[in-house]
Amino acid sequence: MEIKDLQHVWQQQPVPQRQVRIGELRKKLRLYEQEEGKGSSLAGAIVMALFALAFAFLMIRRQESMWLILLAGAAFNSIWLLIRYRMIVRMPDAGTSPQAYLRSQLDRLRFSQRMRQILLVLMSAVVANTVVRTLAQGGDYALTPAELAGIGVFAAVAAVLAGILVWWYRTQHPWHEAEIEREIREILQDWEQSP
Amino acid sequence: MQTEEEYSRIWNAHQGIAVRMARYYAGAETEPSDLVQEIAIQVWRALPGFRGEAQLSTWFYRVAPNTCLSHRRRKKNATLPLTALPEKAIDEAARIDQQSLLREIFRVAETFKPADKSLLLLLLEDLSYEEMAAITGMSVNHVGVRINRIRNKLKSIFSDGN
Repeated sequence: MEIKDLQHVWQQQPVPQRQVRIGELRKKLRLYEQEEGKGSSLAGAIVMALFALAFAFLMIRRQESMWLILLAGAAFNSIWLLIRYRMIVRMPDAGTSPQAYLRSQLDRLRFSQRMRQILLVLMSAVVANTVVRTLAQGGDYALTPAELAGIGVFAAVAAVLAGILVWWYRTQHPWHEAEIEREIREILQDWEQSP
Repeated sequence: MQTEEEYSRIWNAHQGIAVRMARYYAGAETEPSDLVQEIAIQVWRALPGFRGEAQLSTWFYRVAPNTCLSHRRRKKNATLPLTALPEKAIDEAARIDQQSLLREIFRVAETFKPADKSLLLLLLEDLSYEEMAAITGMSVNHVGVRINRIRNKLKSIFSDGN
């Protein structure tokens, strides 16, 4: 059996000719993006709920200077979600070679991880700073039991939401980042290894 | 601005490539027709960005494997054992007379690492080394060495008992 014979058999496969309707294509594209973007939307909703809680708390406590930091955090979160959304929905970057495609995926993945790390550090700093400053206030500004209970409820709700988010990312999200990164690295290594 | 006529013309001229690639890359849990549909969507979305720097067929050969790779990753099929047989792809292809040979090609392809698997497909499509290099981003020499290795493997497999 020669290579030419294999090529002949391969190329002689019957191919059903189907006319593509653009309207149908647009509809499928919309469905595809909605379906594939669902994960990022849910994650975004949970993170934004955390921000909303933090905003509400800081407004009640009149911590105006912290709003700006939270706004920056929200912006980081939005950019991070946008990157993830593009990774999921806008891939593959058609027309690039497999290596370039894989490298760009790895770069996006790393950038998205950096964004998330910055976001988490920022949020932790905001919460820690707020709690410490609030608890440190004395005299006329001393906290009433009701306010202390409010802080407790806020911290508990934030912790539960953060826990749900982490759990969801680790177990439910169709994209397991560590697995993806490992897979991309392996394939890229295979593509780039010298013959 | 792409028109319906332009897209239809391009798709009609290249859908054979899309169908063969979908059959080739379909895993055990993926219908080749789903992959063809996704390739059609990706081509529609990516076509406005095609600037004519490469031949249209080269560009098409790049779109399809990247689409298949991401499709399989999303479907969590990427960790299939290398020896797994893409049964559904075979079912799809089984309509033709030389089904056993196609079955063997699919089986052999599944034992290859990703880069060699992609190159095997381009070899089956009978592309030149230059075209393969343009599609994969490898140097022509690199392609040549790998293709020779693939040819030798194929010869050893298909000369035994065929």
